[in-house]
Amino acid sequence: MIQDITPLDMKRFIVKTLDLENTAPEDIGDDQPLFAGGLGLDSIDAFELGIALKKAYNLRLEGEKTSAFAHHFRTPATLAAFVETYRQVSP
Amino acid sequence: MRHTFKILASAIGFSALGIGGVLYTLIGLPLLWLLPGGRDKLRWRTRWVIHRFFRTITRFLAWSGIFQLRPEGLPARKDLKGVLILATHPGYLDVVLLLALVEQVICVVKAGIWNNLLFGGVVRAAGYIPALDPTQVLEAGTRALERGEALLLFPEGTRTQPGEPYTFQRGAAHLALQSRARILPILITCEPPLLAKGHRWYKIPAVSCDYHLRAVAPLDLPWPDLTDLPKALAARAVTTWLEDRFNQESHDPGHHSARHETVHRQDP
Repeated sequence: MIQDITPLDMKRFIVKTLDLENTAPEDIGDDQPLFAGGLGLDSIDAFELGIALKKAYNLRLEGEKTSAFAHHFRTPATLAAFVETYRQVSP
Repeated sequence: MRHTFKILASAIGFSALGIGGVLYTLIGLPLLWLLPGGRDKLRWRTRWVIHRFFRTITRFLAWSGIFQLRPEGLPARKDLKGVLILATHPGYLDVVLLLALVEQVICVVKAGIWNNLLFGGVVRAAGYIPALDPTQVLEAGTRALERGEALLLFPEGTRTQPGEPYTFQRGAAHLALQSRARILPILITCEPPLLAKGHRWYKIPAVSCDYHLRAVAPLDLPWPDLTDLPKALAARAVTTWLEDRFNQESHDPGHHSARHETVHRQDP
């Protein structure tokens, strides 16, 4: 039985991957924007996050344009839903 | 009187950039398309035209007394194959001067220029790389370096305040990690600052600026420390490492701000 991915999982993943020293995962809201006006991540952060997520959750993204994923990276909640949809569960 | 003349020269220089861009897009490119050789030749010729054009503008601005150009240690073009050139960015003219000094260099251009009516056609024909999406920049940059291009990048990402310690965006680190290219640091400084961030074209110092472009020893990344790190953390480590290298170089006696310290230091 595989656990659903929660927004908190994503917040922990973001803080760990991007080495956000002064941010606790619990301080980020589920629906807080990750980029402008929210957590303040930039395009390089998004790029690094994308690579790390793909590796950690074995995301099935072949043939998909990275730029098409921008809206999934809006908040921890949308990101959790995205990873939940695209992850491949290894047998 | 001399100062008024320099402001006029600056106006001419800036107008020439815009007019040159338009003329090349409207007349130069169509003519060059007619020459045989296809896409690769067109790139080569476009870069050659940019190089000669920037060299003319540079000579004109130097002649007018706005600055004196002081290049130091720049390698010959044949020694720059597949080299990632990382330069500091104190002023608007940095890219003009570098492309005037070294031929057949490509750069990463801002989306604003890529889509610009005056310059868009030229930078596309030259085979420069648009800074649109990080994944695409890294792939295009790595391919270009593997092909043997010399790629110029300003790791600070934008013009920065002279005299402050260098802080870099992480894009340069990612490109260095992915391409494994040799890195040539060029420390550009200008004293007094000329066309720094926020300066308009008419803000020209009364004295002649000393524009110094100093290439230092090429760098190899500290690979053994990086292999076990995830990409995002490796890029952070490399960014800090690069900043340290550049900030160390800025204490070199040949560096402008370091020289200032020397001048102002009191004897004990």
